[in-house]
Amino acid sequence: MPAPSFILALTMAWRETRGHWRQFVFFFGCLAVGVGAVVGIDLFATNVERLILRDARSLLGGDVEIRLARPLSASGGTVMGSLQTRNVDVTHVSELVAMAAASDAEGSDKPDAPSTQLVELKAVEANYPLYGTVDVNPPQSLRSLLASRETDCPARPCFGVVVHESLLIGLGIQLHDHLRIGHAWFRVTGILGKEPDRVASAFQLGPRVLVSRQALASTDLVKRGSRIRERYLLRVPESRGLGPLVEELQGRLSKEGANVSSYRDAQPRIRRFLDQLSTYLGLIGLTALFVGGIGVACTVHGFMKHKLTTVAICKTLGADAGFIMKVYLLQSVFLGCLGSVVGVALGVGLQRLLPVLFGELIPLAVRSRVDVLPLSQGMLLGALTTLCFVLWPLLTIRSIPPAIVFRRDVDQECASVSAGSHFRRMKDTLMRLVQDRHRLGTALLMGAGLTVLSVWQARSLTLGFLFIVAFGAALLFIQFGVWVLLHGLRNIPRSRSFAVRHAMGNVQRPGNYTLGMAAAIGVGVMVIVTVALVKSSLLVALGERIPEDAPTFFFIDVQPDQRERFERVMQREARTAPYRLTPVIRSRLSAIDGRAIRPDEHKDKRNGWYFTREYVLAALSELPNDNIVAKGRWWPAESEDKRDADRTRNPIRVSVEDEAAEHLGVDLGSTLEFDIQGTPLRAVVESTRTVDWGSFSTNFFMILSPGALDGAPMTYMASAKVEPEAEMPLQRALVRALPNVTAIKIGDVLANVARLLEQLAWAIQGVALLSMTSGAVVMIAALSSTRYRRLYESAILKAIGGTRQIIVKSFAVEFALVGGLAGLIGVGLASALSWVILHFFLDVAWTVQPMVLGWGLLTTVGLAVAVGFLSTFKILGEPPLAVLRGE
Amino acid sequence: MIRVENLTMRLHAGGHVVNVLQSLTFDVQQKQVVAVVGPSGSGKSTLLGLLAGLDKPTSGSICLDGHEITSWNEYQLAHFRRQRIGYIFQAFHLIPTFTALENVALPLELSGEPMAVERARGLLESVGLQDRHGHYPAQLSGGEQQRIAVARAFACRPPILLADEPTGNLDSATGQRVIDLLFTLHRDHGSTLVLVTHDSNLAKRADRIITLHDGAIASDKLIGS
Repeated sequence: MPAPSFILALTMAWRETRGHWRQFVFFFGCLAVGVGAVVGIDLFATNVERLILRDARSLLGGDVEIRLARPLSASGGTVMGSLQTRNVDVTHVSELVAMAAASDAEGSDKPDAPSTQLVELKAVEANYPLYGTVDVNPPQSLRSLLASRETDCPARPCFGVVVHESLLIGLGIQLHDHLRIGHAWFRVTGILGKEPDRVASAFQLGPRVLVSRQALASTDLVKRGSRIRERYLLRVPESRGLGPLVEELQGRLSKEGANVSSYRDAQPRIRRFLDQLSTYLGLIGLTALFVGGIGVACTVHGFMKHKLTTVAICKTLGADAGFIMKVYLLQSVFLGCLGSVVGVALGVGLQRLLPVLFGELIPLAVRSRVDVLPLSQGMLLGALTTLCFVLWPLLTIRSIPPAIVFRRDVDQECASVSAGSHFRRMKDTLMRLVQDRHRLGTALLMGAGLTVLSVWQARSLTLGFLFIVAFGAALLFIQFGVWVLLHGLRNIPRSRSFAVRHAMGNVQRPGNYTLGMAAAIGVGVMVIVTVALVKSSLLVALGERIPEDAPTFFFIDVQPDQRERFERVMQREARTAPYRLTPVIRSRLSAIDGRAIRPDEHKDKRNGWYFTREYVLAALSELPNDNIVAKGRWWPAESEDKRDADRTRNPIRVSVEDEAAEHLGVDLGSTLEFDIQGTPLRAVVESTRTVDWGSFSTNFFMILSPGALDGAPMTYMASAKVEPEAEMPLQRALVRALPNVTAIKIGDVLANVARLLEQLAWAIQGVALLSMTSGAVVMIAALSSTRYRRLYESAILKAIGGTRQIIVKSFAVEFALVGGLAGLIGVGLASALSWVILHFFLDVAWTVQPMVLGWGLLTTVGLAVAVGFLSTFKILGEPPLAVLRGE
Repeated sequence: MIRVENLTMRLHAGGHVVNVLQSLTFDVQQKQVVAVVGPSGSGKSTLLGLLAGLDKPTSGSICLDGHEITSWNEYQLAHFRRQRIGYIFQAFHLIPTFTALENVALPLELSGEPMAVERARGLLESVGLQDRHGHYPAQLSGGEQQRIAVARAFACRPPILLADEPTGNLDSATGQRVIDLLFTLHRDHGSTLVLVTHDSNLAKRADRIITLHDGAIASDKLIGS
């Protein structure tokens, strides 16, 4: 006898679906929100990636970038000169941090505060930028805006300057006003929008200021040992291969400590940041989708309860369980595909919203474009998620006995709605799972399917596994939590209020989907509250970690001949402030144990930063206060004579911060070679130190033994604690007396970090809101499948004299209980998860945040009551007689 | 055609054991029309369900057309029903999401009949509902629904036809029309018909009446003997 064909199964699936679309609205809704989240995030990530790939040249500023931490030497200059003879266009850009002061028409600094501000100065040549455009208002050529000015200037030398608007606000000046940087005066000629080659970080020390190279020279800011970033941007003729040129320059400029990269491998840090961001957002999207999956499972479960007779009739007519399962599976996947189409449309809308949500966190002008790949991936993900989540409820088809068509009192009316306590049902489910190979097989198939989807979305085996394990653990915890809380509810004394008793009975009755609703909403609450808890703990740590005696300012680039003047200013303006001047020098690590460090080998690695960064070296005889020797020993105090004698016999020694030592792979006895402005310095590791960076004192990754830097071109750095009222006068006095010295205010830096943290948390919570929306839709779906029962009960209540108020009260208590269960479990899970993140990944203490937890719980209760009423209010108005007559 | 031996059915309800059927033994000849009568709760519908393999007896055997079906699994039973048994319910039990035509065509489609829809159209015509083929069950009267259920039951020309109070939900005039139709089709198709009924007039049209009382056969009479 031929088996019913696949086509027949399809036809029956279609017959079961058409004309009943309203029944499936929530099925669509559950899936659509999840698919929308995944697609929106994927599209956004694709757009960012494409932007980086397409605009890679302008993001780097050229085909090739040569980056140095000091001015190029004469031989380096020759190399650059030789490039120009090979038809390679070169433009030179210098970037440094400086102090700007508002200046009046006479050239004096404005006496009224605030009139100084830390700025990020960028000096460019006339041919800048080689790729892309600088967005300036008024839209004139950069060359004319930055040109030297003979008229309308308070003093000489004077130049045009283009600044970011925030500097004007900070200094309280306007376009065409004047300011002073170093020894030069400037007239603000334009407002800077976007620069093509500024993407590295959303974190800034100050507003951007664009000047000409001639102006930079006039400021006299660049001294020997100054903190500066020199960039040479190259435009290479298309006929010339970039690879050989990069290799050639890496070789020829190796002594300059130059980092040479082409646009193809540029921006590793922002790429990594965006990659990680899109991965984690993608996982939040997947959470929304899986939460939607729970809703789909609830909807199908409710649907199957209404289909008991149809399934039994089909069995009576000779259809076997396998065929009927095929019919409903096809129907579910078909509906899943349609829901995914709606989700894809939502996702397209969402990707337009994400760049707004992330704002300056993503320093790129992301343009919305819709790609086919993320859309089709979203469709597939939606269909597969449906498949995974409907398998279990469809399994009940097997146990629907055909006999129910003539006898309703069959023992196991529907296997899924067995009576008994929650715990007993859990135990029964487990027993059935172990004993029934079909159930076991289905459970394994679902687990495997969801794992594959997680790994696919996370694009990482480890992360995917971690995600699905965490998701599964969260669901198990929710199941356990619901059982404990319901058990607790059962044991509290019965309320006198009928509405409360009725509500409590409803929450506990089998087939009410309390677990499904609590799980769906609880997971959403967990994600949002986790982000809030991590953010709050980080902010608390930022605020609390600053000790009372932490300095207010760091001063950098004090030249040796400015030391006395600096001390005079400090004594005059900040008399009570303790401060310490430390001689330092900038360097790069060039070799470890004789092995040369090639920056290009490390720049893409997670902690490659330790190999490629600039190290500020200090030679100290005493161990700084906030340091503890972890390994080895600190060098004993010695007289200068003995030290000079030792130096001829013994090598220079270095003490390395312990985390840097770990990432660099160095231990006691290792040899480090530093490149100090072209001069090599070799030192043997004598100790490693644990540093309390949270003290905000002057601390170093590398400290050399005393005398190691004698005779080297040092600058001084200092830190000082200043009373608030002395801060501005001190800054003004320093800018006047020592214009090249940069004062970094720690409070401003921390405020900037806190602002970014807040913004990141808001943005992630914005995305996480989708999980919550998904949870709300699941709740609506679950409530809609109990609609008939509610309608019937309400009718009976009304028929025996119950008022609408009693029913409303009962519903309100029931929804509040569901919200309370979900909220309690959600904030409990969020507390655990945030502790794990803070303790293991961020090394920050978890702090109890009663406000966050309280808000999380109350908002969930409020949301549950609102959503509950939204989906049941129509029931309240139904006339009881019509319902009881079954009309 | 049907051989029932020592058929016993016990059910658990509210913690008590109820003997629904007790050691029933009888044979039904091919093409015979048997009416099963008895008061409510005597086990008539349960007997019919067991004959269709819709439930498992507690003990005893049922042999249909030479096949012992009580030991079969659900898959085997489903395939047997598809070809050999037609079933008519008191409550019609049409699939509400299928049209009249699709309801009649379903058993044919399940059997892999290539001209299922065309044949279903013919069957609808034979029960006088050719103009109702696109209607859903909710749009049809009780009599029309039962006529469609009759057409569905005869669709695969099953050798055994089981009818559970086919007129129970219909007024007497409509019920009479449905019974006339049932007997006409039975005559045309030559099937064996077992029907459960409370209606003594209907029972009298059968070849034989089995009366059940408390799950046991109280009497078994051939009409006219």
